[in-house]
Amino acid sequence: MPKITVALYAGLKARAHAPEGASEFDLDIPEGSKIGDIIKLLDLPDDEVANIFVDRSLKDREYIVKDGQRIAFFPLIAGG
Amino acid sequence: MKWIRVNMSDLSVKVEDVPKKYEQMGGRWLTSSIIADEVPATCHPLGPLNKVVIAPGILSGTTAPSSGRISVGTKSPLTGGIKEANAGAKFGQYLKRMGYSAIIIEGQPKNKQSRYLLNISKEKIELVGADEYKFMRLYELNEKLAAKYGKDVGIACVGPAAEHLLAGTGVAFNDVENRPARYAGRGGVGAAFASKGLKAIVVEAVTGQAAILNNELFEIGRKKLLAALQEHAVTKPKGALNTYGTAVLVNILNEAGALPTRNFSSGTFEGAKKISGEAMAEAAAKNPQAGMMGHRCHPGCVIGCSVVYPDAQGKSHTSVEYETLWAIGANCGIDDLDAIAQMNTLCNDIGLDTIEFGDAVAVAMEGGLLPFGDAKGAIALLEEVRKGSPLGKIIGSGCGTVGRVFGVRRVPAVKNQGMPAYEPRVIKGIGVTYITTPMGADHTAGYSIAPEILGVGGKFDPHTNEGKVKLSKDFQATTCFIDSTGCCVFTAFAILDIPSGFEGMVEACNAVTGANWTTGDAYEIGLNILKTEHQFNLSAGFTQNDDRPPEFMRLEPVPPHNMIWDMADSELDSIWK
Repeated sequence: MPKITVALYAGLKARAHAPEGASEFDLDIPEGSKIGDIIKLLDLPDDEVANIFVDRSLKDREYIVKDGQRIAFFPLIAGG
Repeated sequence: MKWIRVNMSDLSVKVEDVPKKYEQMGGRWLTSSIIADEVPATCHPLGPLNKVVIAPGILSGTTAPSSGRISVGTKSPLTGGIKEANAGAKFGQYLKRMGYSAIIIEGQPKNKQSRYLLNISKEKIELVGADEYKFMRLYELNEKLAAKYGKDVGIACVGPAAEHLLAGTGVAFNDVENRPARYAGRGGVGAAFASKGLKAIVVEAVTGQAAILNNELFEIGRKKLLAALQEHAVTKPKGALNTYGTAVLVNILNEAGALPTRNFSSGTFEGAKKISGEAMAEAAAKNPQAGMMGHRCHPGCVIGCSVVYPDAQGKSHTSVEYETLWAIGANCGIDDLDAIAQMNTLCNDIGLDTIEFGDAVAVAMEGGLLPFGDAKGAIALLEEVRKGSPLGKIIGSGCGTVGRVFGVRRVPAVKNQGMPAYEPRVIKGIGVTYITTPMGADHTAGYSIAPEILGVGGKFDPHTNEGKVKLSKDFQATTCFIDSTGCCVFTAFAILDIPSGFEGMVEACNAVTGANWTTGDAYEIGLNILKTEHQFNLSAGFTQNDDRPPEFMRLEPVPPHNMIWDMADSELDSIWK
C-alpha cells in the first residue's frame, strides 16, 4: 500500500478527517488512488480545495498519486 | 481640483488649478505624468531638478471600498528610472477631501542641514522649520506630531535612513492608530523625499466624501465593486486575506518550490511553516490584546489583510507582510518569527524598505559579512543603517550596492532594484514582470502569480514561457489603471474573477471624473501610463539591455525544480512592440 505525506494549509486541517491537530502527516492509500480519491478519503470539502501541489508541482484531481509523494492542499488564497 | 506646489529652493507654497490635461488623473497616472512632463530624465535623483509627487487615487476620499491608496512618484535614486510606490493610508483620503489631487515638491534648500515640515489644513498651508525632528525615529516622530497637530492627522514622513539619502528607503504614512507602518516602500522614494529637506507632511483630518460629479452612477459602481470584494473567497470577510494576512502565501510558494531562499539559491525553505500566515494567526489568537488579524491599512478598506503580530514578550508589530517575512526570513535563512517582526518594526522606525533590506542582507550573507540565519547580526545591521555608519550606508543602499562592495555575483536585481518573493526561474510570468516593468524588479507591477500559482483570474502553467509576455503585459497595463484609481491592487483578485466588479470600479471613476470610460478604455489608459514610464526610462538612458534578468539566473538552475531563466531576449523585448 503506497504511503504518502499530506500537508493541509490555510484552515483545511480543521476541515479534514486527519490526525488531531496535525497539518502534516503520513497516510497509507490504496494503490492507484487519484487526488480526487484522497480528497474523499480525508473528507475534505471538495469545493473548497482550490490548489493541489504534488512534489512542488500543481496537479489536478485526476492525477494518480505514487508511493513516497508529498501532496499539499490549499483553499483559494492570494496575497502579495 | 487644485494641487499644491512646494518649492524647497525658495520655501514657497502655491495652490494651483490643475491643468485640464491632468484633471481626470489620479494616483500613479498623475505622478508618472507629472514626473515625465516636469523632471529632466537625466537629472540626478537626489538633486534639485528631481521632483517628488504625492497623489491620492481617483476614488480616494470617497466611500468606494478599499480605495485609500496614495502614490509617491519620483525619479528613483535606486533605479535611475521613473518610480511610483503606493501605500494605503488616511493621508490621501484627507488630501482628496480637501480638494487637492497632488502635492508637487520641487527644488532643494541651500542649507542641506535644515529640515522642514509641510502643514496642510483647511485654513492654510505652511512650511515650517523642523530641525528638532532631524534624524528622529518615526514612531517617536509620529507621537510628537500627533500630540502637536492632533491625533487624527495624516502624516507622511521619512526616517533617519532616508535622511542619510540611502536608496533602499521609503516614505512612511501613519495608519489609523498613528503608527508609521504604511509604506510607499520601494525604489528609494524616501531618499528623494528627504533630499528636499522635508522630514514630514501633516494633513488635517477631514471627514465626509471627496467631490463626486454623478452620485447616482457612483453608487451603482461602488455597490458593484463592493459586491465583488465581498463575494470572492480571497477578499471577502473572513476570507483568506482577512484571516491569515498576505503571509498566507508563504506555504503555497514553498510548496510550489518558488520561495526564494538563502539569496535565491533554493526554492524551498525548511522553516517556511514557522514564518507563515497560519503561524501568525495562531499567535494572534493566543494574545488578542497584542495581536490582530484583519487589520485595515486605511478607513474604508473592506479586505483587511494587515496583521498586528504579538511577539513572545507581548509586543505588537505592525504590519508583518508576506514580502517582509520572505525577505528577512527565508531569503536570509531566518525562521525566527519574533526576530523578523522586530526587524520589520525597526525598518518602519528608521525608514527602510523591508524588501530591499532583506535582499541586501542576504547578499551580504553570501558575501561572508555574516552567516545565513544570523538574526542577531541582521538586527545589528539595522542600527548601523540608522547611525549612517559606512557599513550601514552600504546595506541601506540596496542589494546591488552590497553585491558590488562584497564581490557577490548572485545579486537578484533588475534595474538595481532587489527582487521580491517569487522565484522567476520557476514562475516565468512574474519574471517577465520583474524584468520589463519600468519600476525595476517589482511583483505588484504585474502580479501574474494570481493565474500562475493561485488559480485566480484563470490558470497558467508557471513553468512554461508560452503566453507569458502577453500575460505580464495585460497585468501591467491593468495594474497601472488600478494604481491610478486609489484602489488596492488586491481588489484585482476579486475583479479578475468577477467582471462586474471591474465595471463597478470604472463606473465609480466615471462618476468622480466625468469621464465615460469602458473597461477596455481602462486597459488602454493603463497601457499608455506604462508607455509614458517606459519612455521616461529610455530618455534617462535605459536600453533594452536593462530589460534583462541577472546573469546568474540564466546559468544556475535553482532547486528543487532545477530550472533556469530560459526565455529569449527577443521575446522580452516584444512587450514594447
